[in-house]
Amino acid sequence: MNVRATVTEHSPVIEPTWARVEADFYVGSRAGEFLGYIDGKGGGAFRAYDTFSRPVGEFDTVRDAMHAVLAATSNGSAL
Amino acid sequence: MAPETQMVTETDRPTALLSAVYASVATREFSRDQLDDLLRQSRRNNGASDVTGMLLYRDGRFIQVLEGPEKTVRDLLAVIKSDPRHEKVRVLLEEHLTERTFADWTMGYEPIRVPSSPVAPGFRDSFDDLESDDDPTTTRRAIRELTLWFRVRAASGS
Repeated sequence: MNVRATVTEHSPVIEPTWARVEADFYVGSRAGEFLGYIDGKGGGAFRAYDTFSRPVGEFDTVRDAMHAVLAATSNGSAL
Repeated sequence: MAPETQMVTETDRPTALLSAVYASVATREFSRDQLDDLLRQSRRNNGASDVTGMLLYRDGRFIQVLEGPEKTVRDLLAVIKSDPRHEKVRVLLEEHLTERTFADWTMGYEPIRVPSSPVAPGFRDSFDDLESDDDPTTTRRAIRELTLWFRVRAASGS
C-alpha cells in the first residue's frame, strides 16, 4: 500500500518592526522592507503614511495608526 | 603574450562615492549656538570638498552620515576622530554609493525631540539601535529610519 504524505509548508510569519525615531515619530518595516511611518501631530493625533509616504489617515492612537499602515500594505493600496 | 589584466576595484576609482556613518559622544554638552557654529563650519568645508550628509544630535551623542569622494571622506573621518569636541568615535557603517542620499545637503540637520519616556515594549529606538547594536542589518535599518525622519522634517520645514 502506498501512503502518500501531504506536507503543507507554511511561510514563517515575519512580524513588523516598529521603531521610534523621536517622540511620536515611528517607522515600520518588515524584513528590511519599509512599510510606512507615523507622525504625531500633537493633541493626540497620529497621521499614518504608507510605503510611498502617502497619507492613509489620522488616528487617535499610535496603535490605530500602526494598523492603518499595515492594512494599507496588505490591501495592496501601497504596493 | 597577452597583456596583464588588472582588476579595478571601487577604491581604485578616484570618483568612487563612499558613505560613512559614525557615532560619537560630545566631550561637553552642546548648546544650540555651539551646534550652529559646528554646522556652519561643517557646511563651509563640505561645500568646498564635495561632501554631503546629515548630522544628528541627541543627549550629548552625535551620529553623522558623510558621503562624497572616497579619499575625501576617509581624510575627513581622520580629522573628525581627532576633533576634541567629541570622543569615542565609532564608524558604524561604510558602503559605496551609486548616488548620494543627501545630495541637497552639505550637512543636513534637524533638531530631534528627545522622548520624555522610555520606548514602549515591542518598539525599537532607532538612535539607541545605531549606538548599541553592531549588527549591520540593524544599523542599516536604523539609518534608513533616521534618514526618513530627517527628510520628513526637512520637507516640512519644522
